[in-house]
Amino acid sequence: MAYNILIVDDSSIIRAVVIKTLELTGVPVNKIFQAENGKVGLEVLHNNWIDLAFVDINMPVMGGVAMIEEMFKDDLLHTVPVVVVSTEGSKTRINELIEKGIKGYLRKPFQPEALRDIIDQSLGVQKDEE
Amino acid sequence: MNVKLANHFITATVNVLSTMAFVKPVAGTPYIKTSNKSLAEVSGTLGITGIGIKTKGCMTIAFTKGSILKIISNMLGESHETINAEVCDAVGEITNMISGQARKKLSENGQSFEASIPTIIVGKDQEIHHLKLPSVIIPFKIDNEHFFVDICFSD
Repeated sequence: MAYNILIVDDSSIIRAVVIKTLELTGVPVNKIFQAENGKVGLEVLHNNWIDLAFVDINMPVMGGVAMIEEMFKDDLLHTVPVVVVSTEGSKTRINELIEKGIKGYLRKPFQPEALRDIIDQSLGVQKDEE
Repeated sequence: MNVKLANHFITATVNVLSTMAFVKPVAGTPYIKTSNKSLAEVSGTLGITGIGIKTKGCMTIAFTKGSILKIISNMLGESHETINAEVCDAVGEITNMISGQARKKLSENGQSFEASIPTIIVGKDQEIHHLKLPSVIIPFKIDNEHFFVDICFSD
């Protein structure tokens, strides 16, 4: 199965790096959607089938925490697995997000292996399924 | 300034750039900054503040045109030849990531630090004035290109 993946980050460079790293992981991808803030990210989620969302925390207009909170209030969107990708160093803040229900946290910068592992973990892919 | 603190920034710089841009920067001998003139064409700078402690400081990373274009080209797998908005975006992200990794290391001593959003400065003749404290420059080399990490902290 190939996945539809949403990348929400205000940095076009980081979105490009995530896409490039995704290619290196070998994860089957159907379509990649991009959004420069949480507001646009929510619009993409409402209009498309998304299997997994990578969300930055600090963004203008709507940050990642506000976007995730909106997703968890929504009957359909709360089922979309979310991985936070950020330089955020505060364990307290990360734990708060995990308690809210995100599937994982990836600290920038990251290796392709780390990205692959967190995708497998978030989508419930077993190693022997590959 | 604590030497361990400088080491955290050296390690973070090498880790971030080797992971993101597949380059292995080599750190030179640190020295005390004597001029406020920017050391290179494009710089990212941010403030770092201890939470519940008095320690505060700032970090600047200054890239020569050659070094940042090499880094960006490696990051994206495509050639870049001018300092444009995309390059400034990348400098901001690199500054953030280095600060994040160094702050994580610093937090292992039980101290927490917050960082401001980075500011990007373009132009070699700009002056960057830090706190009224000694500032340490760590020079780095990637092949024949140079960049500089400038850190300034109160104890």
